[in-house]
Amino acid sequence: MKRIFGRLVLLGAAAGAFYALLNYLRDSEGAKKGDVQMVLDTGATVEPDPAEAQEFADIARKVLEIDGENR
Amino acid sequence: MAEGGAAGATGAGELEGVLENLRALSGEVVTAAVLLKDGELEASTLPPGVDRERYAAMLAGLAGTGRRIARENGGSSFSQVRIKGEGGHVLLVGLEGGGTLVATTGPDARVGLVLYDMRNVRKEIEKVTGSGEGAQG
Repeated sequence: MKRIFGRLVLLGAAAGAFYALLNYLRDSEGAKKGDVQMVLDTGATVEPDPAEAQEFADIARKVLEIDGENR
Repeated sequence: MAEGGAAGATGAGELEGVLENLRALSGEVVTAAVLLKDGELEASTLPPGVDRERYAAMLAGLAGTGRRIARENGGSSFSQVRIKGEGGHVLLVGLEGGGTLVATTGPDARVGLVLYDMRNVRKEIEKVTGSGEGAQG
């Protein structure tokens, strides 16, 4: 009984670690679709490609960090 | 906190007033700033103690990226850009003459409404910076 309980605890810890890792990887993903939207002077609406969207997102994050520090 | 620049001390003071009005009009705006074409921070509502040069460099990076993407897509510049981040939104509205009006909001802001207010104050800003209709440059 004691051994089964010990294995259950180990299994739970492993599942928890896996879930935490999954969340970490999900959070560190790049800019998601729809996070950056542009309207050009021509009136056209453009969604930048993932690399460009990531560039925007990286700078925007830093700007928002400064804002957060001073809010 | 006005920065001063192409619009001069009085113009920068006026701009600061316009930006404060924008914040009063749109309560969800955290910080508002006007960036000139050359990346100079003309005016902002940043509190004292913030590294303005660094902040201006980041805003200039956003505006530059926006203009580059606009050119790649057949335009000459952007009319507006909306960037959603973890801590909120960064909004850019293009000004006549290549300047940019920037505002940041919290994550739950009604972005459409804020952009509407930004577009409404755009003409006033262009008038002060001398980049509006009838002005040279």
